[in-house]
Amino acid sequence: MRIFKVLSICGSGTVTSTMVSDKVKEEMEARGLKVTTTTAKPTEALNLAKSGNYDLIVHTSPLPASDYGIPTLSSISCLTGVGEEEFFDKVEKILKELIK
Amino acid sequence: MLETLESIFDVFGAPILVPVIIIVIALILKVPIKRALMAGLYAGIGLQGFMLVLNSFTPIIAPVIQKMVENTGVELPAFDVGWQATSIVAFSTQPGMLFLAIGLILQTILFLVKWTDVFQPSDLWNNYSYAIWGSMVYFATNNMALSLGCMILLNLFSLLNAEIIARRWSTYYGYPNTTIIAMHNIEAAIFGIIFDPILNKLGFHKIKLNPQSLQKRLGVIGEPVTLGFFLGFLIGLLGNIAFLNKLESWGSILVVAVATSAVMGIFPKVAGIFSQAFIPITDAARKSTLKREKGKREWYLGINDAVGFGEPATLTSGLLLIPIMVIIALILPGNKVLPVIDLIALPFMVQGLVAIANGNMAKVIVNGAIWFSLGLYMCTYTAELFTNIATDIGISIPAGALLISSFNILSKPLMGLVFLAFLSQNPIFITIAVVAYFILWFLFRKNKTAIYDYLDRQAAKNSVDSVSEA
Repeated sequence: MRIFKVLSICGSGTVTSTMVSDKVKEEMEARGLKVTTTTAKPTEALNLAKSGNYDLIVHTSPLPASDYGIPTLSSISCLTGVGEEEFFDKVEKILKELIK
Repeated sequence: MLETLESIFDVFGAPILVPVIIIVIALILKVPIKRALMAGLYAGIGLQGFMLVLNSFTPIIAPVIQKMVENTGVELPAFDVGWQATSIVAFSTQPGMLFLAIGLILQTILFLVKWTDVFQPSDLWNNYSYAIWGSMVYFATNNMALSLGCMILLNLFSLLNAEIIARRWSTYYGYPNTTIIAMHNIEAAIFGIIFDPILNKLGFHKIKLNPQSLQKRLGVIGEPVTLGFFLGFLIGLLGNIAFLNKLESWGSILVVAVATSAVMGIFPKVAGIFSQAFIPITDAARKSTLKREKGKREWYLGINDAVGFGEPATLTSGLLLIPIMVIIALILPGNKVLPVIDLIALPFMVQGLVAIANGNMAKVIVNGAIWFSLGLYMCTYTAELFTNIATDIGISIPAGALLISSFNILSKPLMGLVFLAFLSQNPIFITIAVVAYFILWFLFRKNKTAIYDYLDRQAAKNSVDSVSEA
């Protein structure tokens, strides 16, 4: 089974990015997808994305405008609770697209 | 009964007791048992991890800072260990542990009875901000009632503070119906509001700095690990300034540089693990309260300030303040604190200011420099108490060799006044503080719409990128 690699970004690279990555992991597992996550800061995002090691970036803090080469999705709804389901739906959809 | 509690605290210590309290709170909030246990474990890991790092670091940095003070006359004996370390110290004290539960209950009730329109329990993490002041009161007076009173009053004041800036924060950062509540990051906004008309008279509202272009030039300063290296190098250099011809000195300098860099890199990772302890609790608290809150009420969900960290004006003005605050700390007479680890937290600290000034970086930088400089004095004043508490919970700080502080958490001139009132144990001062709160609460509630409109108007006066304002 394919393991998806998600990059979770937040301002400090630790607090909210960890919270989000945990939720994504759990929720995707409940939906039958295996996910591993890494947390990082916005300034590290571009380098990590270009390394080709990640399938998706989720971020609670705005990303510097750039071409990341992989889908990016705002994960702020994980913090506010508003629109959380839709966020997870989108994540699931993006990851499933990659299997094809 | 109290003695039994005391001896339990002594035997088990924070890395055991805090997890237990977290597990209990989680179970009460109906978090599934497996998640509750994991939450407790994360808390224990975070606490233990922090102690491991700091106990390895202080023996390296302490003698060098001491030499620096002796040899160069740079009177900065208090080292800023950062908000992450402070949060864990705060939660490890008796008042801190109590407030985990009491704060949650208080904040939920206040929201439900509509005393406040800000729902705070969703950012449970930031309660350490009140806990640390309460701990200092308790340490100095041994009076739990005073300590609790202090924390509760601080919580009330900062809820009011959060509610004042709520609409501005929500509008500026673009997250509907949310605001930040961390006391240590919103206090400055009060000063920002008061000082705004003066800055406008000086024409500041017409200044427009471009965040993106400034950010590119800042580069290396914005990285915690390189920043840590430079500062460690500087401290090492100043500490060994009399012996630069010796090889050992350069060894010492580089060791301190790498060690400081290591702390800047590792501390946040530990904080990340620790914060996972709070996810189940905040989720549960939020879900059960939101079920009841439907309808036309204009309310704001408290969220973690990490959300606003990356916003261009916030990040840039925060980073620009880094060299500014270091220089100010070096020259400010009577200041004894060297900001180090919390320098990278400046983008957190300015969020209140940025929201009020609508992204006007010039105003943010001026307001920040003034207010945080005042804050340095509060850090200086509390350094000894704070160091004592840290030592008490098991951080090994060589006696008399090093003082510690947190530039982010303890630099609060206004909230510090409330703290001082309780510290003095003088009933008159305490009563004044309490009465002041009720008066301000009443005034705010009565004029809420007018105040919100005023803040929006003032914000609009700042020239913005795409819209030109008269």
